[in-house]
Amino acid sequence: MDAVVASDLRKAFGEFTAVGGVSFKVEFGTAFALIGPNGAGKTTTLRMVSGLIRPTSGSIMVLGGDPSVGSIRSKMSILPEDAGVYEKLTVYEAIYYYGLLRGLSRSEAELRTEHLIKVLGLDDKHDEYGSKLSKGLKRKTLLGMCLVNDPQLLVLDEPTDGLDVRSAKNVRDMLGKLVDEGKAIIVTSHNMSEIRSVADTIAIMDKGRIVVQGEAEKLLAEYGSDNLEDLFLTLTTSEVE
Amino acid sequence: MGWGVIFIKDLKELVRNRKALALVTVMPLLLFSALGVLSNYSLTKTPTVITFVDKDTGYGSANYGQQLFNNIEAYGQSIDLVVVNESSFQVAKQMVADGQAVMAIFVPENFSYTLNQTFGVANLTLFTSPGSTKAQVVNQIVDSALSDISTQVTYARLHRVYGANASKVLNPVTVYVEEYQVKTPFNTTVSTPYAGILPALIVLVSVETNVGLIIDSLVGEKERRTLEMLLVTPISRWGIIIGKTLAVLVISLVSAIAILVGIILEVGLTFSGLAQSITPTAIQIKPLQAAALIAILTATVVVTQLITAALSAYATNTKEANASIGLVMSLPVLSMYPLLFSSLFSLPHLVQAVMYLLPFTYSYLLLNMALIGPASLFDVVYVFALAGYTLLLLYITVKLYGREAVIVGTTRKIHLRKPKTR
Repeated sequence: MDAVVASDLRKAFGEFTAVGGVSFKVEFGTAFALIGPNGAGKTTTLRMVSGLIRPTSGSIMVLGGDPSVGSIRSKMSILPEDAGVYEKLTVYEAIYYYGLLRGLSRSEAELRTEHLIKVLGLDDKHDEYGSKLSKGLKRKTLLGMCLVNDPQLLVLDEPTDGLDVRSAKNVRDMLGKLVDEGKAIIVTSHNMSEIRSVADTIAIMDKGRIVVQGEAEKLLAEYGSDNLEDLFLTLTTSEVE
Repeated sequence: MGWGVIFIKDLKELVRNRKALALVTVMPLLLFSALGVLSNYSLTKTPTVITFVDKDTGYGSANYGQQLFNNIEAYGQSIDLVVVNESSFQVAKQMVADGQAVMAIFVPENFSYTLNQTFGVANLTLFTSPGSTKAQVVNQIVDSALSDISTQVTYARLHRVYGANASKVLNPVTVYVEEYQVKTPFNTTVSTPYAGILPALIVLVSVETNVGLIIDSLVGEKERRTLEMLLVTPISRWGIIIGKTLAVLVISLVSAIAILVGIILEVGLTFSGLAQSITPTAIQIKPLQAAALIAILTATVVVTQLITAALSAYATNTKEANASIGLVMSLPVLSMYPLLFSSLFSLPHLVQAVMYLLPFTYSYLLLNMALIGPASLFDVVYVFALAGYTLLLLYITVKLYGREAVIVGTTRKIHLRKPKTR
């Protein structure tokens, strides 16, 4: 069973078509990257995958079902771009409450929270309020909130945005481990080297459509590009206003 | 249960929001205390006028009309009481109607004569404008002044006659109170300091101090961009909105208690420094009244929060959402203003219909019942109306937060040219 199967997904907001028919599959134990210029339709696609918005047409199957159903949602997590943390909750509380919200028992949530705080290097920020955290620490806390339920599918919009070099590498390593554990990850990023190191399959989006998708190495060979950045620039137009 | 987690999470956030908590608790205390101090100043430091029409010709050495005048002046010493002699009761009454005096007293020609008869019952006419704090205090002063005369007369009579007519001997004066009736929908003839504008003020303060809480709770999730993460949890929209509303309800309850303490302080301060004999008797709030008051205020605040939540659903940040506060604040004013001057049932049908559509009308009517009474079957209808509004608003809010445009923050734009399509 594939973690995500999207078939001819379309999304229109009034007369404006944000996503104009995209199809892709994400297998368990793989990371799938959606890349494209701003306004290409990546975030809208991720929102359809996470069940936040319904496609105008086409179909989306996540973990074998409808992503808007509670039982499917308890097995997935989303990290939106520019997401913030709860300013009046501590790092521990934010992660712990998201564990409870995703159906963990109190004891499970406590154990997972403590574990993630260690893994994410947030030990000394355990009782720090969200309002006191730097951008990087906020991002780590958000990752904790996403990972607390040990999700089978992770949808991450710019996961390392705002992180320092070391923290970004830690996150990439963590994502690699999660893939090794059999989780499925969908990730977007403007950082091409990050995409190269994290994703097994990439899809380049432009103007609401997937221009090309496949394994990075094969695509580079097919288009004769030296790197992902050149390929991206070749296949996409300037940013959509 | 999901809503329980949302409730605990949000309550923790709200309690840690010191500024908001101070606003909902300290502000009512300060506001009502200040009101009490100002009322006390108005009562004790500005003149209170009684017009006195004394036609009593006396009887022998006794002149009870004059004695009543003297007694009233003596009891009125702790406030700035001015007793003005008038020759015409009509003129005296007009002064009350015009607001120049709070009471007119008419003592008939045979007042002393009748009181000197063993079985005589003298008449005394009071013309008063009820409801104001000054009028309540003046009532107490006149009661005390008359009580002294009654005691004196009774004592004299008991020395003269004993027997079957003792009850008449003990009750020599029948007071006929003619009231200048201000048109209000409530039983304002009851001597209580809670009549008049105070119920309206209580509703306004509770709405004003709590209106921003839900904005921080709901729109704040959007502004921080945590709403998407929250909506992708297995918790239903109902669970999220109910959890958040319950958290706000707890704070509203705290605020309602603060307001209750505030109005007790207000009334206490208003009558501070006055002799007990001239303080209105009905100033204590009974436990049942207090419980009803807290319940009504809490329900009112929850309704306010839900209206605010619905109105600010499309806002993408708290700044935009705050724009809805003005509209929310104007609704209780719309509800209460006509009721301050007229009975609900005597208003034109169209105005009545508008009033029935506003939930704050029911809050105000119920609050009057709790503070002034008496309760009626209509109050049961009002309770159901308020509960119905709460459920309806809850439903609307949940539905709104199910809309994609609300979740992802897209708004309808007016296109001057044909929009780009792909």
